[in-house]
Amino acid sequence: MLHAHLPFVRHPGHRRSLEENWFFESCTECYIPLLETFERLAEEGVDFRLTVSLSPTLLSMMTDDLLKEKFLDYLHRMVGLGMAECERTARDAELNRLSLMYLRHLENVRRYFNSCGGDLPSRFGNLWSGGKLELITTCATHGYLPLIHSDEARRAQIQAGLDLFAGLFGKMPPGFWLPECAYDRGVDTLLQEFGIKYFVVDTHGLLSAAPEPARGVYAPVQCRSGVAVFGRDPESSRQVWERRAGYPGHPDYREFYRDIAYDLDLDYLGPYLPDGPVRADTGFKYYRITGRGDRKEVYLPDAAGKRAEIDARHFVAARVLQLEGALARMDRIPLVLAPYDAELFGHWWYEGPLWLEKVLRLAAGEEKIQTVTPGDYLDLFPENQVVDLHMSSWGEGGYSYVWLNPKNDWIYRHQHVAEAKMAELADRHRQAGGLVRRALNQAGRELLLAQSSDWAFILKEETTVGYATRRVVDHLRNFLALASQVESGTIDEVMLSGLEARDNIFPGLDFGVFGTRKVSPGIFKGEGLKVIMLSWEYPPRTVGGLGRHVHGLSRALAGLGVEVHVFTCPARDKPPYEVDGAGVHVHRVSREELDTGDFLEWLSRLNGAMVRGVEESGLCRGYFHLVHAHDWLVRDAAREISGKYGLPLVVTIHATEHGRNRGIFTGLQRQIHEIERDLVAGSSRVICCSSYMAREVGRLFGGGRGGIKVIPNGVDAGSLAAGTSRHGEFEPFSGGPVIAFLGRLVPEKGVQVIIEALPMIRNSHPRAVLVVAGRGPYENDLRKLAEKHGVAENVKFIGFVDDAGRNRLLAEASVAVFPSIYEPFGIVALEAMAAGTPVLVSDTGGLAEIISHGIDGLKVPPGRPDLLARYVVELLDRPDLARRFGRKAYRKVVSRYDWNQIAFETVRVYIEVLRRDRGRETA
Amino acid sequence: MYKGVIESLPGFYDDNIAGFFPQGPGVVFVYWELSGIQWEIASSLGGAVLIRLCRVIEGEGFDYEYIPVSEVDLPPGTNNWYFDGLDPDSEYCFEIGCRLPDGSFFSLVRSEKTATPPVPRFNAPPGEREAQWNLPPGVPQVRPDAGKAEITGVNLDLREVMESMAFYMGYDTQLTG
Repeated sequence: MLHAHLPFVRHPGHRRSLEENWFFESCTECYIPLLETFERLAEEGVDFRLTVSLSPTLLSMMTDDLLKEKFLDYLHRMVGLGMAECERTARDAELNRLSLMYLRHLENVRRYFNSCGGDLPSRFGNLWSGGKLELITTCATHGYLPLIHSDEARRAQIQAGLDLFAGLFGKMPPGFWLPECAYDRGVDTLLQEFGIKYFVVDTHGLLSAAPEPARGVYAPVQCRSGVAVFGRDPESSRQVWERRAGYPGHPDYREFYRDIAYDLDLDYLGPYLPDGPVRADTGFKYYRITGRGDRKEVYLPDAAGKRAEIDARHFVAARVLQLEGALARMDRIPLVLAPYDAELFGHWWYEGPLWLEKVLRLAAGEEKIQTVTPGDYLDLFPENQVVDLHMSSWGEGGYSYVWLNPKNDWIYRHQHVAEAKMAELADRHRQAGGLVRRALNQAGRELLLAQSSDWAFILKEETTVGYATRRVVDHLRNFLALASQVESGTIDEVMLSGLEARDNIFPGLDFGVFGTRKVSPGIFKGEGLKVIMLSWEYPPRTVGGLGRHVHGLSRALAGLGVEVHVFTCPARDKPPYEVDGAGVHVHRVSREELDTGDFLEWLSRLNGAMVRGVEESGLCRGYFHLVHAHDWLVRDAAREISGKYGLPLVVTIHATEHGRNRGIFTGLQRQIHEIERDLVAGSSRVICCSSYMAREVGRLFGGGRGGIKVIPNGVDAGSLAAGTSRHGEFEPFSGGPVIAFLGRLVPEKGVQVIIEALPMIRNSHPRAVLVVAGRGPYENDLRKLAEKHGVAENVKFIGFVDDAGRNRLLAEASVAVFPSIYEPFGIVALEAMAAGTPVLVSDTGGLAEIISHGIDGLKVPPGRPDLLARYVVELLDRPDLARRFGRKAYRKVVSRYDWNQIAFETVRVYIEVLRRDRGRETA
Repeated sequence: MYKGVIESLPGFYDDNIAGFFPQGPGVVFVYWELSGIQWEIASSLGGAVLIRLCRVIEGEGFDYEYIPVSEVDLPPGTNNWYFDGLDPDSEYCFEIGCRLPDGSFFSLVRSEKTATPPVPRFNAPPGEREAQWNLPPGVPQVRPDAGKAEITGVNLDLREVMESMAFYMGYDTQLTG
């Protein structure tokens, strides 16, 4: 596998540039010789397969008209130098032979380039469609993903790269090259969104997976997302990569560093150098490695050719032995994955293309081995061991040291600020056109260019430090300038046009790739999914968050094209069946069927009625695809419907009896606990709304047959209208700041903590009031507590509020407080964030996962009225800070907790469950 | 040499920022910034501003616990730091806060938690056993089916349940009949 990449270097303002020479040299010494090699082998009918990764920056340079023109100019100069060298070395037969060899090579490169009209990518494309190569690509500008902060920014790197590739080659690649083979958790999920089937990590990245890969590096593994992972084989790597012991270090091979540019007079060389009097490689190198010392002998191409033959045979023989050994220990055909930088072949290692050609010829004639691509191997073995990977790279040290050290760490604060800003602008200006669109597109380009891993690498290696520094700084400054102009509405079109002309990579880039992923309405319509949703709560009958969750989810699923049938309790003034405005089919059990005073009998009847409801709908046999049950109360119906009609069961556990009671203490609690266990055990997949809940469910019950997926609750941000004007309704007595609480009045919601904190708050803000919206059996205790602390006059219990009342309260509140003791998620906190109200939550349960302390809200340890008071005072003292938190919290909610997004993730679970179910049936 | 070029980028974004990235199994890099308003708050608290590295572990009750492992008084003008000697394959976060006059730590900003990678395993040959198709650890195995749980022999009045079990309180039995 060859990975071809160069950073985007294009300087239209300069006739020649040292950095553009990197591209010209690589084309001359590496890419064109490799293309010729592959085409020659194909023409001769040699049976070979090879994967080539072409980075988007390289492809962009290959297709850029200015660079093509400059390349021809470069070749013209180098041919001129070749002629001059032939004349200069006329009296030295050995050197003259080499001068002629280089001259012939340059002329050949020029001929090849002209013969394909300068369109090198098309030649790669021909080899792909001819079945010889498998082409893949990498991130847009080779951004080092572990140091790209957000999923949005990572997705943008991946998507922009894939878009460019698909635009050039007409289809998506099967695999993806992670820049620097750098993996971080979650990257595979992003790749899976684009249908990528595989990627590559370094040896230790694979072998350190959990559990340990049973087949070592000799077979791929698979992430939970389904994307396959191949690991670099260390043996074949060492044989080629190692500086001294590897093949390229043999004394017969050409010495890279001994170039005429450093030996000859500048007066002679000047006309041929890219940057005036600055010495730079010409490619005319007359000496071989010889040995470790400085004394070098003249290069002998024939001897080098023979050496390449010997090394190729050695390599192939070593692979045969290696694979025979692995085969003896494995249950399937082993694979050796040998990835290299393409530029090694021809540029760093002059004889590399010759060696590679010999390897491919020998392998084609070898019975015991065959060259394949990762895609070929996955066609043979599509199912592989599922593992969890950790962060890793193929850089020095195996992690992030190369790209994160004191020489380059200054980059990341600025880069991450830019990433967050770009995401915010992309979401806010989604419908932008004209100049704003152009500015945002260019801002996106500048950000991508700043993220290139090459700059940090160069800074660490201390080669062209000035250039790399200027590139990062210039691109970030350009980005910040454009962002500021968009925000202020004063775009400098002259500056913008200049940047568009200079940094013209990704001409088709749409800045929307940087924003929150938007899910298209009806996206799953083609799947024809039909789901039975069982929930004991559904609006208008809501007790806690479960009903609101099912309501929001059902509506969003319907919007994505899933047919949802909710079976639920009766509700006053609601018919037994209706299709609501969002297209959700709501079936309500009749009140008469539940006519009993006994709770357990009532529950049994509810479940029985749900089962009958499904039967009586007339749709059951072969109509529905799965059952989605919410919490233990519908266990009986869920199990019966699932079993009777052979439907897979997906279960969402919103909260557990153990969690609600902080343990199991009574007989009934024990029985509910066992029902929850049974429900989980019978599920094909469990969904929890927070990692906290997933841990709780996992520890209490295990993960069910399919494990636990965390999908958060959502919120309809549009219904909460951040910034609604104040009505003065909740400044009832004092006109002071309003501290809001919304939720059920039960001990676990922690209202008692804020009541205890209120006297301390009022020391600094005497007119502060606490408005408590909600009902519950704990209300009297809370009233007594308020009296005990002398704040009864300052705590207003306003009872249950509808959505409009909730919105008004949140609009007027200076801060919303959720001091829960136990909270699996805290949907009300999300609602407050969506309203733009500054939020302070307990650092517990799901609440702790919603807020980033000090960034978009505040978190306080549960049960600490003293700290809670201090933080509330901080927000009341600094309304600017509070407003900032409110803005950032709003942004977080609309980007991460949008119901469409939640529904999308849920449908992916459905599809995965159905796929697994069908797989079991056909097995 | 290129400090001037780098310094042409904003020195201050006037925002609360906390970045936290592992460099390797035992080393993490952190950077931060406090907004002007946050600095005012810090000053008003009267204590020294410091950064604190915490090990994040799961507590008994499924919540996370934050165990301080290192504290550094904030050197003037510094906005980044390396912590080394960390445990591989472990979770950490860092906070910026104030040491109050009473000795307690008042947290102003906390980063997201992040995991250090494990120490690598190298050159493990394929096992001689059959490939184990196990789910990764952390995904709990399903317990053997304990049989369908049934609630038997308990006779509870609907109203009694609603009044005694906190979760179900607020459930309006009037609407359900």
